[in-house]
Amino acid sequence: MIDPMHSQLLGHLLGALDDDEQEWVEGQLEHDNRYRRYGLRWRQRLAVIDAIRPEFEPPRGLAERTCQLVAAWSRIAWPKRRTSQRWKMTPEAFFPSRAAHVAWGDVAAVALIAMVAFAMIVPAIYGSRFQARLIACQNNMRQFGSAMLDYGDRHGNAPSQLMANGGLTPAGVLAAGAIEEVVATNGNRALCPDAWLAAQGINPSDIHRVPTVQDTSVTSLPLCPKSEGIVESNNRWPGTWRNGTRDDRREESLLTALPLMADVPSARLPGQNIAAHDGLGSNVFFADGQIRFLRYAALADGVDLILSGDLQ
Amino acid sequence: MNGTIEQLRRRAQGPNPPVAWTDEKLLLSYRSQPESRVFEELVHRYEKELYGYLRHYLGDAEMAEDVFQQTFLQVHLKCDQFEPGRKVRPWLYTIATNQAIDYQRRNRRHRLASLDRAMRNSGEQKSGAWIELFSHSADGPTEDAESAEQHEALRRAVESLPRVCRQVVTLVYFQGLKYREAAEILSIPVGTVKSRLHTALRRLTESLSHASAMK
Repeated sequence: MIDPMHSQLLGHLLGALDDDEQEWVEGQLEHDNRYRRYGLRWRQRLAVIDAIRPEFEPPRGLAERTCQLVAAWSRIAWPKRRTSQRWKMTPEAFFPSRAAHVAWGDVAAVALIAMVAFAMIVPAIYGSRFQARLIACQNNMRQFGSAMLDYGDRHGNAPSQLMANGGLTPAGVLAAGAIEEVVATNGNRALCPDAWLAAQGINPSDIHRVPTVQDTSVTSLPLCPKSEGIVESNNRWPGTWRNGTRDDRREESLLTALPLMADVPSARLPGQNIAAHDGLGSNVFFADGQIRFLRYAALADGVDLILSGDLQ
Repeated sequence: MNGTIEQLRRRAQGPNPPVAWTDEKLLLSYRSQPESRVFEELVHRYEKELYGYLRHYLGDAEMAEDVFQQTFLQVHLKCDQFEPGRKVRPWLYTIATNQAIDYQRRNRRHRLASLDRAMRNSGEQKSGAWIELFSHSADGPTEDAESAEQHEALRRAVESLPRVCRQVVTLVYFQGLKYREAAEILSIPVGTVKSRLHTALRRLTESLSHASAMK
């Protein structure tokens, strides 16, 4: 802790005190030998620095160069605003460092161009990310589907059926085991959501859920109204299975567009909240190995047609 | 010679020259009615004092010159912000200090070499600029070398101080400002100025005494 008088003494030696402080310190020095000795010590110390303290002369013409610099700046920059002038709402008021030739039209044009560019870029980025995720899912599904086909060829049985579980319905829920039963008996149906069926008073378990692929309308189907993306076909699995075992009877079959697996149920159904593919549709794996992305169709009551679901 | 030049300058300014005006009157006059002669008078008045302060603070002639010019450019741009009743000197020193700090930050990693800058070798240091080696000196070469060495020792000692102490010692000791003025420039209490100055000068004297004892 420094004695306040010491710092005052130092200020006195350096001439850093105000006049009244200076007088007070001089008065103290007259009466106190201790402070006089302390001041003498500081004087000796400062003499060390004073002896080697340099004096710097400014370069020749520094003041003139400085005035020329400021004069040049004044000519090219925004004129110094006078206090008597009213502040005008101009672009220069917001960008004072710029030359005074910016109009509001220029600002509006730049803003418009920026908005158009943003509107073009953002959807493109979104679309490309959507496609990237879609393809990643399809690649995964292709491996699942190939494994399923391979299993069926090796063992003559379909793989075990995967049970759906509401919102956690996994990919591959439409296992071949679920299809065998309906393929053997009926091959021309459309998959309708349980909620819609229930609304019609139809027991979902009485309906054969065989997702098939066709790009035509399904007005002939009595169960679901016309919509896009509804799949139907007359195709069957090569060979048939009954109750999990392969039948010797082989029926003519066209191994084409028989869907075997879907990856996402409709996100709009109660309990289904999977947001993959932004809830727009589902990747469907078909028996011939192809994978297509089928968009969900909004039905009359706003419920999408799903391609996978409970297999009760 | 300088006196004659000064007389000629005053005569060229015409009647009622701004030479007789106070600093505050000069700045307020420039604020309301920018005139080159008023601004020139202000620059000339503070040329040596402010350059010396910046030279002490920055330790480099070229940097001091750049900051000096930037300071007065800021004075021109911000003279609207000068309030009547304030003192010009602390206000000017505040601008100069802030400009010096900004300059040091900007140039911390970009140290250009030129003939006008001090040459720094790995094993030795020379104070001053190369161009100064060619200037005439009344002292002999031995005295010049010794003086340069002492200046360099002082410069190193000042640079080794913490920045806050360096500011205070440069303002109060080297520039002769009062405690109150330094406190206003640095926006710190007067008591803080006193304690920092006391600490800085004690360290400087100890460092220089130790250095001279080592020889």
